[in-house]
Amino acid sequence: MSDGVQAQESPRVAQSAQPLLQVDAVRKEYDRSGSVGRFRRAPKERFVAVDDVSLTISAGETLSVVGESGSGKSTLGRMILGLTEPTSGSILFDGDDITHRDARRRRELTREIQVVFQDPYSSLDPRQRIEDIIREPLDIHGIGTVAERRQRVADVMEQVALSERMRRFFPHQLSGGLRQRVCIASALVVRPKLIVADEPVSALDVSVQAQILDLFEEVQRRTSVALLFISHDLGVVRQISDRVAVMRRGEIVETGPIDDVFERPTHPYTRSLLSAIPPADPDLPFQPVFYDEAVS
Amino acid sequence: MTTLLTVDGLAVRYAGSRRPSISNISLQLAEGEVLGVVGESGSGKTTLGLSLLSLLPAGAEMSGSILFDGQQIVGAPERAVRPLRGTRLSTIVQNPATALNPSFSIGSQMTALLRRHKKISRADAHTLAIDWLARVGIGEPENRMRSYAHQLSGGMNQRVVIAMALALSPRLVIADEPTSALDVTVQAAILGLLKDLIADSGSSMLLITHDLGVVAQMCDSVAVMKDGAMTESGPVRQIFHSPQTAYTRQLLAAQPSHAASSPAALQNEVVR
Repeated sequence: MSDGVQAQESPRVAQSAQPLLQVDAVRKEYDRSGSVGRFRRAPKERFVAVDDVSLTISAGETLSVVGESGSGKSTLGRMILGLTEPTSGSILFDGDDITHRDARRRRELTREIQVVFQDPYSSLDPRQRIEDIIREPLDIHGIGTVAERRQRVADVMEQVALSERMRRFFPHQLSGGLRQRVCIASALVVRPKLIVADEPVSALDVSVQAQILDLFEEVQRRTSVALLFISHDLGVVRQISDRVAVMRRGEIVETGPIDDVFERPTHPYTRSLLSAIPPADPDLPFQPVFYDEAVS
Repeated sequence: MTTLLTVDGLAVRYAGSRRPSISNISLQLAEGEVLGVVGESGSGKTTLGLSLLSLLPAGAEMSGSILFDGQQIVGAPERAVRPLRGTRLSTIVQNPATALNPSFSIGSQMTALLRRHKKISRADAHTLAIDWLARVGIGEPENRMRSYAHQLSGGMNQRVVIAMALALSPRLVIADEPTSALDVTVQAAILGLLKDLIADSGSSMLLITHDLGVVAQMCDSVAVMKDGAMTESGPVRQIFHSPQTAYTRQLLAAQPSHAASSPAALQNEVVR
């Protein structure tokens, strides 16, 4: 932490002109009809999962995308990861257009853009040892010699506070929190520029959640990796983000620095979301304001 | 206030397990009281709820005492406990989709429940079911009677489950993470509904949750569980404002708060 002037943005955020990731008017439509009734020629019905979403992330920054189920936040993450293609709009990464990527480009990009998913139980190969899981991205990309790979695995394991003796463990021998550390280690091992984390702490107990959030912050202090943090949990988002984008029904309804959005929400949906969280203090008032006429 | 439930030295050990899953649990619940049971996964809070309902899996051993409404649950034969469930003792589970039968309409499940326990005609049961759906905030209840669980949202299903849990005016409702699977805005609506209905009915509730916000807003008293033991219990304000154990303090500190410095929080600091 540098002394003196308090920067308005987080100090680790690079103040370069060009953002690391620039998502521009991205839209994703799904065909709603036809998939079930294959013999029925229903009129084409389109479902808009993500509707003209634009956002930027700078190096070292944490942008959270917060929203309820069906808001399109995960679809947005999947488009950035290249797991699904946008219907229209563009995605620029480091100045390159990565909206449509072929197999080779997709593979190259997995070095730069990594992912951490919600469920550390299903995202780890149960038959591989921890060190093999973490090393696998290095093998795939042919990074370093055998000795260098081993050293790199040891380094990231230390970075995520996995003890050395766990190298030879299998995932089932680890708790949920430790497994999520393994997932983070295997994301970090290739030194990505961006990590997309989709609900990475939602499956964990609160005390473990807090540790994993601290870990993300620590990792960012050390590596200046950018983080796109997808979550439904406003408390978690408040703790980890520099900026936040609030999504509802495929659209970003409000975006801004985290404290501004949480302290002075301008969109009624954001206000409704914030008011819906029961305060963990019996003396604080709980007066949820509902945005929709029918909330459930 | 009259005591409705007294648990004394309760221990449960599952079949094939050497260590008890919960042990030495003692608590009291007064009529109309809402008691929150908090803890992390594996703390034994769900096991506690299941033992009160006497719904532990086969082979599980229960010892100690559970005195509910004058009746001993521990060691009681199934035929003695069964008449309690649904009537004087009911439950709301986390996932309403699994609590409802997928192959029967909402209406037929509700009327079956009502007719099973009340001596009323089919027509009266139908009217009463519609009335309950309306009370839990389901729009167009007459039409919803014909719906199936998969046609309703998670929040709607949970409203139906709440209606079924409360329809027979139970003395005690055991709600195990009733809103954990729901979006926050839906959760807020369901919590409000549950609070009002419980207050109106005069029922007691045992609310099992990992969410301290839910506890703070819903409960009169709190029991904190860790590793199968009850580490602390007391009135809700005492637990939140002057926790006695390090574990409770740790739980409170780990709770991520969106309102760390919100105007409401600041205001409250001044008031206190």
